[in-house]
Amino acid sequence: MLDRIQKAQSLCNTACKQLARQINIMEVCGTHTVSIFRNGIRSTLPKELKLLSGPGCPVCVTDQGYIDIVLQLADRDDCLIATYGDMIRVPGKNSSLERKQAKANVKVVLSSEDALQLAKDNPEKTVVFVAVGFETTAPATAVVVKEAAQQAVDNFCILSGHKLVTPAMRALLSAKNDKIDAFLCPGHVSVIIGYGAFTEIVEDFNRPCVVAGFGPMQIMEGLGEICRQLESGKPELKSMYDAVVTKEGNIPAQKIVAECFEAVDGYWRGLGKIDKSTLKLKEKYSRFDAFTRFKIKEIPTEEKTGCRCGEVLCGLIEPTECGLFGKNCTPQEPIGPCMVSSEGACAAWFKYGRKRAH
Amino acid sequence: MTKTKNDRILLAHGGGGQLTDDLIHRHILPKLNNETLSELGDSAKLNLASKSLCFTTDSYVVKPLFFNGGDIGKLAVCGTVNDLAVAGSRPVALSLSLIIEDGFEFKLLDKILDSIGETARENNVNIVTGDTKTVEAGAADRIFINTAGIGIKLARADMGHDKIAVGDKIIINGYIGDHGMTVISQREDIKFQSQMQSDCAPLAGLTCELLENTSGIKFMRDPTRGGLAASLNEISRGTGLSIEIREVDIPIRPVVQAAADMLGFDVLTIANEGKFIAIVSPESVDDCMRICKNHPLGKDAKVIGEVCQGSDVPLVELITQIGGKRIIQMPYGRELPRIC
Amino acid sequence: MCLAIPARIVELDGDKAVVDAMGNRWKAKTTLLPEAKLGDLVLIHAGFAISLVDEEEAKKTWQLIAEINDFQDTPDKISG
Repeated sequence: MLDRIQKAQSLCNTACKQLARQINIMEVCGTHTVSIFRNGIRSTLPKELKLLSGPGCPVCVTDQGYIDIVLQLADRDDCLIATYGDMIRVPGKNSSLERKQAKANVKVVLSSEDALQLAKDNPEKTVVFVAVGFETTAPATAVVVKEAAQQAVDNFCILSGHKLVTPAMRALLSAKNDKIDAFLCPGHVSVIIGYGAFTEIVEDFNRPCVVAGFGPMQIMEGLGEICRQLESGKPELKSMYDAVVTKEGNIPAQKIVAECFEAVDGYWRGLGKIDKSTLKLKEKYSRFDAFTRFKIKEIPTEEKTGCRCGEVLCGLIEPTECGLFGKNCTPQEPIGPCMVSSEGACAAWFKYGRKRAH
Repeated sequence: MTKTKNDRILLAHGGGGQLTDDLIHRHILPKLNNETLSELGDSAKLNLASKSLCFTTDSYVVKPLFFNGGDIGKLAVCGTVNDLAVAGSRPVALSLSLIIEDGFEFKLLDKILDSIGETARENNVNIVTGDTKTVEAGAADRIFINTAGIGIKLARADMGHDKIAVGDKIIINGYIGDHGMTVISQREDIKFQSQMQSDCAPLAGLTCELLENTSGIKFMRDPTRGGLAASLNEISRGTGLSIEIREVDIPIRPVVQAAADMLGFDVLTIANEGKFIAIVSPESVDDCMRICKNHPLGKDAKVIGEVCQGSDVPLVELITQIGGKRIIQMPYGRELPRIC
Repeated sequence: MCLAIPARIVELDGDKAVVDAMGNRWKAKTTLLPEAKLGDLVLIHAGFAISLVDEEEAKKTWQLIAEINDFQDTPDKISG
């Protein structure tokens, strides 16, 4: 393994030398963020190569307004909230699901199927499934929505917070942002949507897009390939995760998502409104849509003046240039995604200082 | 008055009257039998060989009560014995407090008491005093246990944060993550079948042997809640020194790593109940490792890292398997399964 | 959004499966992977199999796979 990693490192070193400028590569998957952190990958890269943690943690970019809706529902005696563990600590305006757990009506589930079962086991309550995640996770939600319909589990509903990756990538690049040189594309999102989905990023924006898996060697080889492409000046679309990723993706999964959901405009914490970036249940399944059932409209939070996560995410500014950093926005009381995520740029900077946070 | 055969705890069992008496004499005493306890005094009178003592307490609220490799009873003895052991003492006496819910089945209580008695006997430790309270159903998650323990400090033990120096090596006595991941695998909300077993075990035999036969042990700690990450961070903070450990040297069973991978957990933050870390002088590493390897609870021991000079901020860092470096953070205090 | 690990299908009944990852057995659904069969190595995310794993390819890049192969039980049963 180590010799292949060294080879990848040398491709990175060569590119940095030849291009003689800083190279910024963005990854848009929370799992990549965590793996890069846990394997200490940044410390093995040349200092001219900067890894940007993009808006890839679906939980961290969930708008505060959405969380507040979940918290409101958690306060109702007739509701049980079923959620993935990721959501428990994300802050709303005044509270978090973690603080509501004492009331015992918030259950952590590992699968959407567990949420559906919870509804079957508690017919007197309405179970609200906090359906977050990117394209990797949306099919799991679609399956249970269809099952709920087929099996008439009428006390089950979902609050869809599913987000889409490519609209976010487009939005980041369109915001006159020339800092992002390339994307390390999410391996498991690609399993579902196919790596062909990133063709538009390569063609419309001329940026290399390389799909990689999540082990340290897979990530290093992905970065090495990106650097090779940058040095050659020929951006390409390439998958280096052939064990599970194909160009077309998982067709049954795509079909079931298309049957249940449509893409609508959505609000991302730190990035604002992004067109057609969120999944909403189609009319046919509206009785399982918690927004419809409880007559709630997602009202975007007025971003507190001063949150500059969008610029931090894109590598346009350092965390310390944000006026809220360390004052109103800390890891204990985070405002934007960069501080919510324990591996976010601002959280890392806050805890370990400039030298360690890269 | 008809007497119905009673197979569950009633509130009256905590009332100090006939039923309490019955509980003590029929269920508790026979399993923990020793002279001091049998006196059933308000306090236990102890004659100890030394005035240099260690004293600790811990409460046990583990769920589920019974898990692969142990139960709350075994844990209640091992946990407190281990706290005394890593403080450099030989455990001699424990107290046992039970808080039991109305409706708790006797057959489960008996199993737990059997575990307590067996574990205590195997380690030459007596439960010398105790207390039993009963509460309404729902108030104590079936049963809560507290044990407090006294140990006699070993003459040769001379440990403390102030003894730790740059260059000292860090030894762990075996695989990490076993207990925490086993318990997690049997929790109601996560339950999955697994070959994992808790590593719950009493360490005093091994720690006393180490302390009595070597002279360079600067500090010991048992990485329970928060795992290795929490213990190393506490040491770093307490000494102002940095710590560096190597991922390739940390023993983790593949089954434990796979379970952690599925849930998104970091094994470094997972609890252990049969492990200790020892910070030892470089000269005593060989002796310590030899003693560990010859003991059943130390046969998988490894030297995992060392203490280094703190920089601006004392840090615990990991040299990863690819030669990278990353910070091991103080864990939040609660592991939640992730999908992301 | 991508936490997924490879595991082998050791039981399969319709789209309800039990998968084994290094000695841990999890329930999973194969609804999104209708072609999955007993004995297949699949990628599991949030309780669903989302892809078959090409073992030859995986061996080239995935440490886990090498370990899984050393570890393997033979698949148990098809029920129903």
